[in-house]
Amino acid sequence: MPPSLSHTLLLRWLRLALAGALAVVSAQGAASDNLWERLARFDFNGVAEELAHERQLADREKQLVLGVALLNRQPRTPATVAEAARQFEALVDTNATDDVGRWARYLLARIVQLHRTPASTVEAARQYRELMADGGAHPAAQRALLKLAVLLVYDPEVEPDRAQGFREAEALASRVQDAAAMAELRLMLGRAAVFFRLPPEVCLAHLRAALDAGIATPFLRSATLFAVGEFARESGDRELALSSYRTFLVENPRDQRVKLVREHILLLERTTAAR
Amino acid sequence: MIRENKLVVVGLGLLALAFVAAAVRVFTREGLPLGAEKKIRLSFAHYLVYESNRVFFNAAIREYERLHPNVTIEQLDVPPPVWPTWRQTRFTGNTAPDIMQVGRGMRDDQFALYMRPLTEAVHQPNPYNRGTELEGVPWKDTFVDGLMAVGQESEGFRDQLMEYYGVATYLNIVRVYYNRDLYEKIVGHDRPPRSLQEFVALCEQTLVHGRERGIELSPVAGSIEYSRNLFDRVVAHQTQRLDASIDLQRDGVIRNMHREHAIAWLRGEWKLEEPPVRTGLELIRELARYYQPGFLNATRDEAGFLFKQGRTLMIVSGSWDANYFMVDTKFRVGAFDIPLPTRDDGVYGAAPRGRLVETGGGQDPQGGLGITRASKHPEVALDFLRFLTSRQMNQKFADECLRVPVIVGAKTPGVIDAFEPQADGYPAGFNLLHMQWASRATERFNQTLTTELVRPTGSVARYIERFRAGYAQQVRHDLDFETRERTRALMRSDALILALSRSDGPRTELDRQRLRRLEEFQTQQEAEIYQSRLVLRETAAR
Repeated sequence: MPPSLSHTLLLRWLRLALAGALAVVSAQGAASDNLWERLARFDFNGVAEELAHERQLADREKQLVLGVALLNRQPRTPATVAEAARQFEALVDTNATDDVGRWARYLLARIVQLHRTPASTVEAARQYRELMADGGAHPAAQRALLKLAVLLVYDPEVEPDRAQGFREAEALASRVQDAAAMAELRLMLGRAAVFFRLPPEVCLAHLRAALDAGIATPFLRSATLFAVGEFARESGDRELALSSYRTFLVENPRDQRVKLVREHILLLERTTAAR
Repeated sequence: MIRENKLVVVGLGLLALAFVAAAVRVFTREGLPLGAEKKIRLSFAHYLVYESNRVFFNAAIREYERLHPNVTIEQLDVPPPVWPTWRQTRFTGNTAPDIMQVGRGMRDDQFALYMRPLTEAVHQPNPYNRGTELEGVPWKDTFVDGLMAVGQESEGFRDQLMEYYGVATYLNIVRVYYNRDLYEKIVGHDRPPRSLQEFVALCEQTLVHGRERGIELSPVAGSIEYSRNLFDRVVAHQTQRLDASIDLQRDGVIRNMHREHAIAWLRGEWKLEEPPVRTGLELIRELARYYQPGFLNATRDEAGFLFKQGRTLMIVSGSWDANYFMVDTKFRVGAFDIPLPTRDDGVYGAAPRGRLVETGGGQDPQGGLGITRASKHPEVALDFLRFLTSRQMNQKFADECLRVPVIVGAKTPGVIDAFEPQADGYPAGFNLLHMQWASRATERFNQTLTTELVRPTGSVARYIERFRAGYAQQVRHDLDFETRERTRALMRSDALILALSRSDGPRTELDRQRLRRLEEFQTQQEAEIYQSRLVLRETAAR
């Protein structure tokens, strides 16, 4: 038997009131807990607006969030970039060497390199070096190392001599702290060696090192396996070529290069047998 | 005056009456009896507007509702031209449907802001494949390409975000449609041409057939869009080997097709005069003779209509048009693979490696469907997507809508079996028309020059001369534009990486993997940006 109309209405109103109260409470909770998650969804404008109402942000983490939101808020203008830079500078002024301070310094270098017009890669490189100098193991310093390596390899403002830049970037490998960053650096160097048409053994050395360190992205790993096969074949290292192509086939059985790789393997096997 | 006042009073009275009636209706509306389960309502929007698609989706929805009586799903089919505007309006108004098609230029920021990632889900098996050999297989691996497609146009995995956002429903494959009745009249049998020579002979026979009977009959119907279906493949086939020398990563494919090709052009690493490119152009010129006169000025609709009226023997188009050309046409329509030159071809056979592969990244799956953040029942929407992309439903979709299926084990329908994707082949080379690339300067430039290549009084030599004179400037324009666009993406990726590394939420292995991949990809992307800048700088004075 359905309940009476008055009961139904009463329950509906109560349910609405309860849902409203819960929504307010959960929104407040979400605002403080999920700011980074919202930035990861590119809700830069929403986060910037929300934090702009909080006049005195005592929490350094929240100040960092605000800086990132301001930096990416749309429409991006020189004024919004400058506002973000001021936010990071304030964090650095308070403490340049705590966790938040180091990330703020990294982001200031990124502003100089990417966000400002005109950009200054020379100044960015200087700031990356500084960040690496006083705390090289910190994640921000490790990111700085990789950014500096790219500039050394390719940017004539930072290093006019390409061969010298490549050597300096190679030397940074000794300061890398973990396998993931090592894979990134060696992959970048291997691809640079291909780009500059350096001898196959240089390309191979870096690409193999990247594979050994562990390339995490499937399409970058398959591309590297194929390239190692190609350079090994060119430089006459049949075993390496075969093992790289075979791994490629095992890991990428549906790839569009399968027929090509199978043919290379067949040819290499025939040559090996003929010997 | 008094009469006017009376009218105002009557008007206001009517308004008040309508308000009271509405209020009474709202407040006295009977709700569901307590304890009764409330129906879950989903909406599903797409731009696949052929009638057969609408009919299929309706049937699929009814089937799903039968399995799940507590769910009702509404289908919205929106015409493709208005889709991007409609989509943005729905996004910004927070009125997006639960499930949406994710193609037609959807950007990474739109994916991140308005769509729900499916990454975790695609690593789980699809329960609707139970009882098949796909039972227990991760959902992503039930797709013919493993949802591997990457890049700007990907409707599944977005590499800038390292998340899956869509699941595909079909593959687009290009073939030659032909009028079988007319074909039999012209050649006396129904066996399609198997080589380029046979294709050219067929075109000649068609012209003779028309002349002898005094009828306007062209072998092939075309427009800018339709002709590209053939011309792009011809050049991409001829340049298969040349690609190896311009491949910036030596990874066997031109991943970022136009950047690598542009950089190689600026560095002088490929030239139009070289045999693979030149022979490609010569072949285009030879084949263009068989299109209807003035085809470059025809619209897509005009070209399609010419074929449907029987005024041409063939048209080169994709499986997306199967419904249009093969259903409700007054003659029988068949299809065959484009006969590209084979190794024994003395003129065009030397350059290509072999057939063009169409699987595993050769052709990216399309018809991606995703779940919006606005969805109030994402778990139900996900279940419906799983249902829709089960092998059984994908087979039904292919059969009823004449599409090439995208799920492992589903078969291309017999009536369009010529569209079965070519799995045994080699990656494509590059073509000269660069769709969807950067500011499209090179595409516009090439389109203006195509007339020089295909008109009867034009020539390959003159085309090359004009191309060489203006191409570098257009390539530089596109490369510069692309570099700036990618830099913008790089700025956002800093925020994404930092946000993920500092977020307090529960961290799964997939989260950690995503963060590491984002970092790795960012560094390689950044290096590519500086490669482009370096080439632009070093070649600026030339």
